[in-house]
Amino acid sequence: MNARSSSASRLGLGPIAEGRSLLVVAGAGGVGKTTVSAALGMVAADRLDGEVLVLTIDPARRLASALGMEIDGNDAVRVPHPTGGRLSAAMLDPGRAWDALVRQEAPDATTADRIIANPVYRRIADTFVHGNDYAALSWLEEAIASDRYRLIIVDTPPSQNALDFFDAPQRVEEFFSSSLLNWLTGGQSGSIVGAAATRTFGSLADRLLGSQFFSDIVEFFTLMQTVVPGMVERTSAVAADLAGDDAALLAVSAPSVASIERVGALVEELDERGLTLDGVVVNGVEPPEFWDPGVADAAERVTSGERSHFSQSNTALLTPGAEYVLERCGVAAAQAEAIAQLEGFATLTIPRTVHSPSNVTGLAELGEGLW
Amino acid sequence: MGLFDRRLLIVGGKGGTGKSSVAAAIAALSAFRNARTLLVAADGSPGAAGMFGPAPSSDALEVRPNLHVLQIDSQAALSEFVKLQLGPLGSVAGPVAGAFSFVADAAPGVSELLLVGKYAHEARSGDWDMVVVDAAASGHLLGELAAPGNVAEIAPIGRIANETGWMIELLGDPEITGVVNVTLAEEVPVAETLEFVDRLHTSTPARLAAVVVNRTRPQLYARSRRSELAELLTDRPKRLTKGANGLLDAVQIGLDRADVASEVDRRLRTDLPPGTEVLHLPEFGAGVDLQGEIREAIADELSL
Repeated sequence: MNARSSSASRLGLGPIAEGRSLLVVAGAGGVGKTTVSAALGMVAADRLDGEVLVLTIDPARRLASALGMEIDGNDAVRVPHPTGGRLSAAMLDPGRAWDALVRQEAPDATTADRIIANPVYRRIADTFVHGNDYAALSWLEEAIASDRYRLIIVDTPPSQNALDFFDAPQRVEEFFSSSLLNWLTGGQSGSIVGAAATRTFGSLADRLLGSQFFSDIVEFFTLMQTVVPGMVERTSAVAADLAGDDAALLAVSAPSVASIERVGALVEELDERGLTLDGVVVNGVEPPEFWDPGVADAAERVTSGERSHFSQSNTALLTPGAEYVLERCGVAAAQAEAIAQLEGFATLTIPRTVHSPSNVTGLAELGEGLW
Repeated sequence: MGLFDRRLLIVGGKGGTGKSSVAAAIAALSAFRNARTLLVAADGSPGAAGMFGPAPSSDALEVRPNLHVLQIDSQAALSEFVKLQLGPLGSVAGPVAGAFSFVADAAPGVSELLLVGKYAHEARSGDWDMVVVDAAASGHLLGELAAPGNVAEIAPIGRIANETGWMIELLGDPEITGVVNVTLAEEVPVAETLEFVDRLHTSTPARLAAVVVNRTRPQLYARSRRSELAELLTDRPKRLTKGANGLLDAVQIGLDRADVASEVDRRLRTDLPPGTEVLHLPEFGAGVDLQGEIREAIADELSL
């Protein structure tokens, strides 16, 4: 489905989930992406026949506890669903996902053990560029292959660029198959020039990083050569699935101009890849009370003291509150203007609640309006 | 130990909290107090360092009396370090430097180490009375501050490892270095701040100096008027218009939000390590002299 229609339309997950088995939720940090993903999972499990999985990566502990999940573990766990929907959630631990991947793809147990024991490897899952994206893809591959889920909702890892996720397999392949690394690990030692350069390089690396570190790095990259082709093949298939017809893509945004401009930038990047955004969820807009012209009018009457609906003493009592309400009505108007930038996209707004959802009931309520 | 008695303030916080504006204001206030101040953008974008007009670069640039700005990124820090280490060889060893950069970049922790090393170096150079860093969002910042320790562990010998000792010492000296976390008086940001502080103290040598609660607002009503108002909101006058009824609903939302704000503020005060400075800043409208106003608000909060 193409979200770019002639005018803004209301987004509903229901029509999107029709015939789709994957839902990718993208967005910058701090916009409530994980909460929205969990709420979508709650409502999808209620409405769909079949099991729904929400996959999230290192969320705040608070959300994990809202879903009744243990913080530890890569396995999907069943979420207690208020209406008995079949919902599972998995919280990815990238370190353990990498271990699993290495064990699967290594030619033998000894190689896997050596890679996992390598001190460079031990640090890499956390700090390797796009390591989280990659670990998520590999985990996802298994979930898809299990054929167990009607819908998988993927809460993409926080990153500078939402689309890094799709590029992760390619980046891993480039990283490990770089000619520089081949050269470093002796792939071109036949060339005299290459050998001399490698020596210069080696002595420099020794001086700066220490020889132990240098040999750890060389060992790590050498061993990884046996694992990478299989890893890349598995995850490339998933990345293709995520960009295919079975998958829908939602963006989550805050109701600010800056955040909505980032959605615009995302759309352009998607266009370049021939992908379309299926909708935008604007999270945290002021609730309906602050959008109501009747409310603004009543507040103005109170603050100006002219033709107030209330007695004189109540008008005085309400004045500080009414000033606050007028201010928030102004914020709501600014939000409306920012959201108007999304014209042509299926959009859905989620009002800001006084308390953020802290249990499955709260998440289910939030999800109710999303279908 | 006052905030401005330190020499290195690292300002972090999650997206959307106004971290860069706060970092800029802290630097402006420091400069205003006649301390020679360097404001460093270390988050991959000009951030705070770009808020004074001229675009920051990798050379310190004076933008106000006593206030200099600088933008660093790990790539630039890496090539600078390699060039420095190669000395005169640097000009001929282009491909070697390239290969080294590539490996050092791949080596976990090394690029983070060089980034931290760059601002830590500025703080110890003696050129500045104060270095303020507009740092990466919480998760990345923890990785950066842990990098010297991590690298020292996996590469115990070599020139880079030799550099880690003084960094760990400088970052770990609470009289020199302080981390400032910017948050909001809402449930999720405060929960994340407490989580961040926990991880900061368990996984890095650096210590929290202050939490800035940004965009706070004064209580709508004095305690003495709350019960009177509660009565009006529950026992409403008859025959109110829809708009007037809606106004009462909206006022109720305002009160509930204020209650949440005081509740999370209480949580911050009880759960943060003792001695942590908690500053409250109001919301500032756009288009005003933003840094000037925030600067004055910070000075007020610190009773400077």
